[in-house]
Amino acid sequence: MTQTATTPLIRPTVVTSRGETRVLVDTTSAKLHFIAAVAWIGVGIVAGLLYSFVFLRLYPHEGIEVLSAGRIRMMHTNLMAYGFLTNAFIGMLHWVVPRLTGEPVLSHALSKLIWIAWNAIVAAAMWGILTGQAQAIEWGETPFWSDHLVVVGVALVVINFTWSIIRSREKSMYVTLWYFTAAFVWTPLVYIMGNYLPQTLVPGTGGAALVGLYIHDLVGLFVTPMGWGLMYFFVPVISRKPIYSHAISLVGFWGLAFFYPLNGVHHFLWSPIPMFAQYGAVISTIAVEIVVTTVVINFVLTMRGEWYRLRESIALRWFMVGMTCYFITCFQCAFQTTLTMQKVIHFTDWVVGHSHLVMFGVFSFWIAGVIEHLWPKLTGREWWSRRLNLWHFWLWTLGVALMFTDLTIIGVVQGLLWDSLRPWEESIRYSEIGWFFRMISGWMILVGFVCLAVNMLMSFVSRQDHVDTVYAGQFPEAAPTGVNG
Amino acid sequence: MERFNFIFIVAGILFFTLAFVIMGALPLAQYQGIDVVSMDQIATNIPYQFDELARDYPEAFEKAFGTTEPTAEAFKEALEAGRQAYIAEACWHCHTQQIRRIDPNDGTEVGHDVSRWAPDTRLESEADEYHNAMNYPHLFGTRRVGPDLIRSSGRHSNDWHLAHLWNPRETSPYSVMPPYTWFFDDDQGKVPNARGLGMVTYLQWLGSWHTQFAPSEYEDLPRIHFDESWYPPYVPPEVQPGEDGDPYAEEDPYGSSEEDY
Repeated sequence: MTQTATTPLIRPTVVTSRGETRVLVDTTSAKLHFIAAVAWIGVGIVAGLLYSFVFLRLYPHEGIEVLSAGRIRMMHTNLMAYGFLTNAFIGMLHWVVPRLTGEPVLSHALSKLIWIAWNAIVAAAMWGILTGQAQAIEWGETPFWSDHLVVVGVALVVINFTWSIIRSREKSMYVTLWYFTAAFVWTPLVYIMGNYLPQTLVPGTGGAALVGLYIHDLVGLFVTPMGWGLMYFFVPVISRKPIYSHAISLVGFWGLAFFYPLNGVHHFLWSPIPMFAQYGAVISTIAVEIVVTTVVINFVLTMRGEWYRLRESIALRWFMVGMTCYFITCFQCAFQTTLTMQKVIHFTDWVVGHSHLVMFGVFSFWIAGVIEHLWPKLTGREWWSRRLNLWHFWLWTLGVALMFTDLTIIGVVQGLLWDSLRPWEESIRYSEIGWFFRMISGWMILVGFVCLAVNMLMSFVSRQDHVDTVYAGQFPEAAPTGVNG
Repeated sequence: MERFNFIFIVAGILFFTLAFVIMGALPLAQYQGIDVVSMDQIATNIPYQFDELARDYPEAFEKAFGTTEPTAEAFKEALEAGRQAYIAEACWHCHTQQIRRIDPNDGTEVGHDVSRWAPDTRLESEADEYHNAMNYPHLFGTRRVGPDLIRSSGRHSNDWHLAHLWNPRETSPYSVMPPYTWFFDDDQGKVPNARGLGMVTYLQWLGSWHTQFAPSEYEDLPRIHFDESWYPPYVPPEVQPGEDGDPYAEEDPYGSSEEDY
């Protein structure tokens, strides 16, 4: 009963060994984190939609100071990063890590404390942003005083889960845990570097180099490893096939670890930051996209012969659509980062489309897949309506497709209009049609979210018990009978 | 190779440190030994628009900064208030503060920044413009919905800015910028408060080192010099001097030249 390199060894949520019963998974904490994540993404989507109104000169909140356009914009991005993604990832960690390591987290009481503390921090930070105490660091606009609290919160999370990994008696770690381990080191380092140095020690251009690292590393060294970790766990579990190649997962992990941290300065190309850093960032960005594409290929080949499962499993659909978005993103990255492309598309809506494709189309979709898969297992109740889940899936998929296409097109239009030295306001007027369709896609995403939220709530209060799928015989060497995904 | 300690040390600590050194510390090393320009040094060159603010809005000015004179202390206070408001409203998410090293608009290159945002001086942004106490952290920005602001000094008058902050479409009919009515104390947009005055001060300060510093004063400020061989060749075109030898002599200092930037 050992785990091989390509199949996770999955233990039940409660194990009995040598006459001793131990609760591995703190399902209550996992459930609470997913509830918080969905609540925050609801607020975040509304904030994003309000911001899209501003571009159409429809001001539902004109003259209200706390709902000023810039403030809800900062609330939108920061809620997605710290409210939605972080909560969902912690919930997912609760489900995955103890079952892979065979050891519970340090303390289930600490887990509850983390839930309370983290969401209190997020709420306080949002209050700070709305009352005008923001910090001028992208993805870190949370007020400076809240940064200290975030560091403490992150440290608690890291200690809680690292404990479980360190105490594991497995001979080798499954690939999911490599990603999580690395993320546990990187996240605090990245956060401290990005939020403290430019604010206190390093002004101007030098600080910009660090902020570039921070913007990129938060996505690349926190969100990406978490996302890949969950993919390496859930895709084999749901599709019931081992990962195609262990070698490719090695290439993917070490390529990400080496090249991704070097990318940051590509957010400020052609700026006064020294050119050697800019050239280096461009080259390593192209390198990391090649590496990441190999990982996408690994998952596509894992699914070979299993694609029919997309008909029955909406969770798998979320994963594979997210994977497609990821491939598009990586392909786009490798050429949009060149100095030539940057002359046109930097500062335009192209970049906004790109970031929505990554943060929403990829990572939020993967989390939606995890929620789709786990919610019945955590609550013990069957989904209330499969039809609502399908609406959720299609509204988000088509919504992000519309938003990405639309913003990419008007990004190019804006860049070329600026280049032609036409009056500035002309680029605004040509963008209006694009901004209109962005608002439409925002509505689609909001309605999709309502489908999800209603379905989660109704499943929770309904009385239809969830019957767990039993994975007997699927991973003969890895999964003991009666263990569910 | 796939054990906790190895991943923790090599992937986690080692690779991160390597990237921090190459992409963070090496660029930082370029600014070693160059003093950061302090607020006191900044306040030795007060743009004339600040004097105008004190003259035109004496009561609001006194209420905001406790004096009717445009002193250095009041200027520092106003700059700080303006920067705070600029960050609180996330102005930097729609207005950039960098003129990129692309241009030259000579028909062979794609690029527009210098022609559009520094048509007079034709100077792109340099690191020394940001090496001061007003850039903790920098405000480069990553999205440009409205105009770049690093050279906004003198581009418009104080009154234009206040009218624009009260209702952007009064001055720029197609603007999508929201109104900032809370920068004013009254309900008609005639009495700016500390944030309104500070914002105008800040906007009139940005780039004032290029348009208003007397040459001797400008040379006194610490400058950062790069090895130009790092950059693509760029030859700034000559500026034709006006009749009395001053290249900006024909420009109205109150910003009547309100072409669409």
